[in-house]
Amino acid sequence: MKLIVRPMLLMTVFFSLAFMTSAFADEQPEPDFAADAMKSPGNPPTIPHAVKPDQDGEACNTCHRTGLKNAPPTSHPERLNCTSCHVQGEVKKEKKTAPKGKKK
Amino acid sequence: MELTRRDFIKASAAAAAFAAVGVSVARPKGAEAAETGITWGKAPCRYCGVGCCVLVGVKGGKIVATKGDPAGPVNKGLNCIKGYFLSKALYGKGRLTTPLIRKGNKMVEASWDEALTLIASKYKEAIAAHGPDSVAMYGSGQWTIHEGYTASKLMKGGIGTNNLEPNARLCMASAVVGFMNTFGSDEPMGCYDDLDLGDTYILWGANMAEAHPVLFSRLIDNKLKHPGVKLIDIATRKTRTTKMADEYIAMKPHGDLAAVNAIIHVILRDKLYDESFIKQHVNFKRGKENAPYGLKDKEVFNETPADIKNLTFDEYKELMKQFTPQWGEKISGIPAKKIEELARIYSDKSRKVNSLWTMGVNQHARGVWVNNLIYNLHLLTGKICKPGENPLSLTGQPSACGTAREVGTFAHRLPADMVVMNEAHRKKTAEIWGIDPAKISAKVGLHTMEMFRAIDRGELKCIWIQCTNPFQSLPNVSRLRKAAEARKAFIVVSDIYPTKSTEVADVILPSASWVEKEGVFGNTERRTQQWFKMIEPPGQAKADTWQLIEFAKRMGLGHLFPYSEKGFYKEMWEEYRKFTIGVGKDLAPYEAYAKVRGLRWPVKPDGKETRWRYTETDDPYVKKGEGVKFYKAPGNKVNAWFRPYEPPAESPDKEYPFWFCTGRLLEHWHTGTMTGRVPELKRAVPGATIEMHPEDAKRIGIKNRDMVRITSRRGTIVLPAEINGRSTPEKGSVFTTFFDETKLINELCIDAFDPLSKEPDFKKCAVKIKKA
Repeated sequence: MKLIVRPMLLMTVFFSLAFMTSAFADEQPEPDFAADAMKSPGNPPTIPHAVKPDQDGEACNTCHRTGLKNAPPTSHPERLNCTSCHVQGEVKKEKKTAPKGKKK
Repeated sequence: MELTRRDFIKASAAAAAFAAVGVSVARPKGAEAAETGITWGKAPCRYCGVGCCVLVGVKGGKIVATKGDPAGPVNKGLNCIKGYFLSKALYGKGRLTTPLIRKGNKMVEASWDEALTLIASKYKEAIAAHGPDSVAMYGSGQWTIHEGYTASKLMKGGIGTNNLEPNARLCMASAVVGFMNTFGSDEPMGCYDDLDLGDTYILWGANMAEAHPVLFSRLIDNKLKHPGVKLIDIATRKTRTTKMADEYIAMKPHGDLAAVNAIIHVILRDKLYDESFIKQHVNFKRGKENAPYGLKDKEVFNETPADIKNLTFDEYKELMKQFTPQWGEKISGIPAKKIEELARIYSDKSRKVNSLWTMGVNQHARGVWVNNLIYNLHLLTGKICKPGENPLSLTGQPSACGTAREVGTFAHRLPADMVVMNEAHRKKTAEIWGIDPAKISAKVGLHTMEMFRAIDRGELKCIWIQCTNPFQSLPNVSRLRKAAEARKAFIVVSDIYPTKSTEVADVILPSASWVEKEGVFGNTERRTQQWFKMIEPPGQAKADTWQLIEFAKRMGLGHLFPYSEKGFYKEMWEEYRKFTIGVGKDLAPYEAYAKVRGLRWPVKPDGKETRWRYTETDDPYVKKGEGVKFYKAPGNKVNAWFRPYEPPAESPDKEYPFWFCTGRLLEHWHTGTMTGRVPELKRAVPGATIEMHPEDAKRIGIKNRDMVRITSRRGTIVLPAEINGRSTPEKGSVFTTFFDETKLINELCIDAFDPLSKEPDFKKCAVKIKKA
């Protein structure tokens, strides 16, 4: 049963959104963008340390899954394309790993 | 059809149940306090063709925040790193704020009236001396629908030339021709929902993880939730997409043309096709072959009805016998065993198969042919027009679909799939525009590649470029830059920052961007999204529509734009909308878009959108009981084309032994004029590098970060080597990006193009590599 529930749930999210957005203006409620903005969890934090050019999500998760070495634990360890949302910010100087090769 | 319909109803019922529950999102503490005094509005993202929904927060006349829109069906609150720093694209250093006119080698500040009067006098002078085909306009897939519509009406209906092109010629033209000659109508039957509902995704040379990151996240979500989902990455280099794929299949450049033919061979040989679908829906055709590569100026190649031969299914099968898997392996590098396997995956009745592609297929000397062949895979197996089971051509600009394709800002197109060559189409257009049909020329204008060559030849006297950067982005760009620098034409550039194109301009006009004006974009999945103006543009910057209409007035063509100031956007929309009604491309009234996060056309009379075209389950043009109906194709039958293998324009040889491929990466967009001014993105990737295979590098004695000289027959450039970095090209090939304005990569690229779409091949030419 579980096998069916999960895919259905995913489908429903998109289908429900699609249905919610598909009637002409007079039938549509006025949108409340401020309320929608409140629902956003905010933008992802930048990365304050060097990132290797071939870094992948599994590498990030060795620390960020559990909070090893004071790394903030991630709420979404299943998303593995980390750098598609988190860009490298300014690198803290005191970090002993030199930001060599931070480019790309 | 039974299965499709049941799936659809099941999913819809579940959706209704879920909608009642609602979605709750956790909020960080203190967020509300920080957001007081902010006015929020909605807009689609400014960058790529995905069309992510964004919420824009404005305070004191400035954008203070942008967020991925949780109510946005495209991205469900997610953005990519470009999207998260979206507002910084407007607030970068060096915004153009005043018109500038060239005085010798200097650009001198001018008033709008001076600049526009000068432009009008130059255009009038050229038209008087050489006729309307001596002037041109070059726009963009980043034009809003209103901007493209204004340009089309002005050039085609007013000035009387079809010399109007979008930069989408460089990215989507092959897809357009593929849609038109297969289905008789542009743009996909499927939509993004297929990324959630399918179970097999075959990527043909598309690095989605970097070029379409949010769609890739949707795909990965599907994969995480459904262990059976399979992602197959067929490509010429290992990328971030490869890392997340179930399987990587290395392919030689240009190998897709052979590989797809060989897969089709197996499907036919082993009778893996869906015979009843073919009988009902498919005609077989053979087109014109031995096509040229566009390398000579004014080379003409067309596929006229006289060149097209009808084939029976048996004749088609006979012709396809030559493309064995062994032959496919030899040319594509994909093992024959894999080709057999792929044929079985494509025809597996228990699998919902989707093909995804973008520039790898489109920027291809035979791009239309590969588009045709991918459609053949889906048509032969009947895996099309079903939820979760479709071919999907991904686009790269926010309104390549909405503006360049739907409004039709190409040299041969008119709105809603119409063309200038067709008398009835010109007549219908003239009627809606309120002009004499004779005013619209039946002669196809200069396509992009010829347009810029015509400057070099001295044939094109005036060109106005808006919203794009051709003097960085065109192939073999040094020829074109030299012509511009020699002042062979009068060049006007409207943009928001100084670029490689403003550098060669005679007049530079400062433009308003994104939410500094009102607008509408259309994305990859036929979704039309509207936004309102939220902030003032800086200085004297003005919307591109305003610039064009003020110019039109000075050309004596002001009557073409009789809209009121207050009702401008709605009035123009309702006029444009007339083209779309009743032809399967129906758009909704303007107000409807203000309230929703876009609608996918054709919008039904009851205001509902269409997710899957050509199906009775969803498309209002298909009656109950008709199942699938390709109602835009002649006789309701689509074309499966026989397209043989023909080699690329240039291949590696002794002197130039490496393949050279160019493309995008995650952090930067197009020529980097916006993303290059966002500090976070610039810091992440400050400049272009050359990616090489480690064994190739070792053989030549190149270490990571060594400076490398790359030379083609057209140009030479020095870049730092990147070895074992983010991506690794296959042996014998190198890859770089084209965003870096300090490195004009396109000087190296060959200006060969597809004979049908006239889209250049940025992915393949030959270079030599030396340590610098």
